[in-house]
Amino acid sequence: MRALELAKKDLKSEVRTKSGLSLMLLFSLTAAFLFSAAISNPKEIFSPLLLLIFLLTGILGYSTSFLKEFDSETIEGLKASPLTPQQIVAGKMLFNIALMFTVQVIIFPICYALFDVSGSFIHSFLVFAACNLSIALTITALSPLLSHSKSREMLLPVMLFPVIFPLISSTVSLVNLALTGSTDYYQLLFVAAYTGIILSISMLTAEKVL
Amino acid sequence: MIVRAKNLSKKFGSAYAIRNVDFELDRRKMAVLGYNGAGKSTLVKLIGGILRPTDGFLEVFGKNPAFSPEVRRKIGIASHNPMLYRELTVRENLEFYSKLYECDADIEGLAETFGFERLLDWRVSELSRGFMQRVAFAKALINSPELLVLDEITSGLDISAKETILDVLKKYRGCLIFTTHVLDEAKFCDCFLVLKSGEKAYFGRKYNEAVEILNEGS
Repeated sequence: MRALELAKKDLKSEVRTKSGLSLMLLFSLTAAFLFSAAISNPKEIFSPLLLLIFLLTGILGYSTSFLKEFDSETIEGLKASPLTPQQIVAGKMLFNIALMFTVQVIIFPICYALFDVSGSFIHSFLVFAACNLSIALTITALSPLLSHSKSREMLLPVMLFPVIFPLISSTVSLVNLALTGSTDYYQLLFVAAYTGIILSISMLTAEKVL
Repeated sequence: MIVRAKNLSKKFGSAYAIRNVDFELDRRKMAVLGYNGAGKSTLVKLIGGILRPTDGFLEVFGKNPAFSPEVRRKIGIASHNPMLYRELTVRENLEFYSKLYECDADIEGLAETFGFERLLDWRVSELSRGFMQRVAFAKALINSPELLVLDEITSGLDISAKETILDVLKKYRGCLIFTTHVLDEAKFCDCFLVLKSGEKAYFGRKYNEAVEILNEGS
């Protein structure tokens, strides 16, 4: 429940400042328009393009809620409160999941239309949401590690890409298959297992990183 | 015993901020005296559970506060860092902390005590430094703490705000740990811990002795 309160506080801050969401929407829209204009047949590479847009958008947006707490030193208030480090991480994850779904609900249909994709919209949306969730949780789990680094904008992608690498090929093939209306359940299971591992590691290491 | 510290040390990199500090505190008001860099803020953060000791032993209500949410629930902490969210209003900040501590705080009552009742719906970013400190102090009292830990809470405040806060502290019935470098403010306390370069120079009940030791060699 306390983690939910933290997520609600972050949502309230986000609604008030719109700093994270507007940055993410602006970046993803620009990238989607650029790709649709620059690539002659973007629907052929719809899923890697989508992954690239959401991955880069995630790097921009998901780490900010954690890093803002460190920059404004409000993290001290959270650490002094009865919140456990696991609840702090869980609260930030819940907020980023809400952010992720908001961005996906707006950007996914735009990409779908801009790239002139034909295929099962709902199916591909849901499958991509499962992969996107994993990306959001991974970035949230990594961001407190960067809190004291001066070059954290550069460090996050450097740390993220090796960690997220196993997810990339699964996401691409799952979205490609989803457009045809079918699902590779083994790949989906792999994404679920990957998400579970990331969640477990972040909860087990929360005491150390905060 | 509410607070017990034995050989308490905290290192940042290779430098000690606090080194081998010992003291025990029951239901008293303790002033931690020391000049800049003496380790007062580090000690407050250790007792508040924000930092973990590098070496030694620290117990607050029988447990290390850094690892015990139940202990932190009984502690109220305020420092020169107000720990408030600038984009939220004063009321939203106090409500948020009140939910974290799972207590039903009288926000209006606290605001009235510290004179910021008309500012409850202002964003924290719109407040002056002095009012931010008052809100931070009210935040520390939101859970009706049994142990109140305050780090230079009166710095940057005008005389009337200072008097209001000191008045509340004098009436406060729980255990208090209060750091300051303004020695006169500490007179109402019943024991004194003097820190010099992170080490304990004095721990006892005599104010004059504490001040004398603090000023030795300065």
